[in-house]
Amino acid sequence: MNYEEKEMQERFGKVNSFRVPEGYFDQLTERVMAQLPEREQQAEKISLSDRRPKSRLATLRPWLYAAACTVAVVVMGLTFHSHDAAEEQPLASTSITNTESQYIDDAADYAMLDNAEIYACLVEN
Amino acid sequence: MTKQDEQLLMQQLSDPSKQRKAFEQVVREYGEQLYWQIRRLVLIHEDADDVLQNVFIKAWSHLDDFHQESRLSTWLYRIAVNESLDFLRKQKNSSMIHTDDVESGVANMLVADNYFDGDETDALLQEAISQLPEVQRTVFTLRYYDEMKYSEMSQILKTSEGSLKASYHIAVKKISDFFKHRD
Repeated sequence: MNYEEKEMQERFGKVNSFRVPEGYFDQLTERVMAQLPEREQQAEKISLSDRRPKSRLATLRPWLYAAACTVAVVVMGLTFHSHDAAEEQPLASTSITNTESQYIDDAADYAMLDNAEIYACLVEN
Repeated sequence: MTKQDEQLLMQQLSDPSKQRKAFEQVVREYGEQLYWQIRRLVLIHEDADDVLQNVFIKAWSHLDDFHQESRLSTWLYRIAVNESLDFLRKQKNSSMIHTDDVESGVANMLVADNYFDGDETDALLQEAISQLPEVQRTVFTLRYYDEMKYSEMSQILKTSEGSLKASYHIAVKKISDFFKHRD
């Protein structure tokens, strides 16, 4: 203990000059315990046991989402398909024409006819 | 409380079915000690009561964080010191007490307080303590009034013993200077 500390103790002592209201410490434990919240574990327990049954809408919600997604995919698919079909129409007819002329050429080759014989055949008929 | 009693209490605190009852025992055992530690820092009874309630609510809410690497009393003291210093910081920020104004300062406030029965010199000592930086203020009250060992204080404040001794001696010097200027 240095000089200043010794002097301080001689001058002030260590007397507690603070006071509390009468009966404060007697009621302290009760007051503190009354203010303590429930622990989280207990709160979770209560919420689990008290869990309410799901509403009908909540039960159907996943199915509603799935149905909405399916409808969206079908609508989008139909939209794109009709658009593509409209654009592909001339190509399809060209393709048929090409197929028909290819068929006549193939038949002529198979019958070993040349163009002159075909024309003669047509004139006779 | 013996070490065995404390170990039993801590076992009960970790058991959800017994912890509320065990915590009640903690409040009964440490409530008064913690109150006085808080009161010496915040000075006013109503403030000390509020801080003490917060200390126990915090301890109760963070019971799972107490891993028993320190004593239960050390853990509670640490919460009490932190809560008290937080309170003082908030109070300082809201400028409720102008500690640099001696005329309307801490001493006058204490003399007028129903729950302070010291004389003017006692009130001035509290004013001198209240003007210390927070670490010196805490170290001084723990050492001077509670006569706490530096080793225990070191665990509460998580500061080296050497640093705490230095803080205490600086605090004593400043309080001594405070009175020299007034005499």
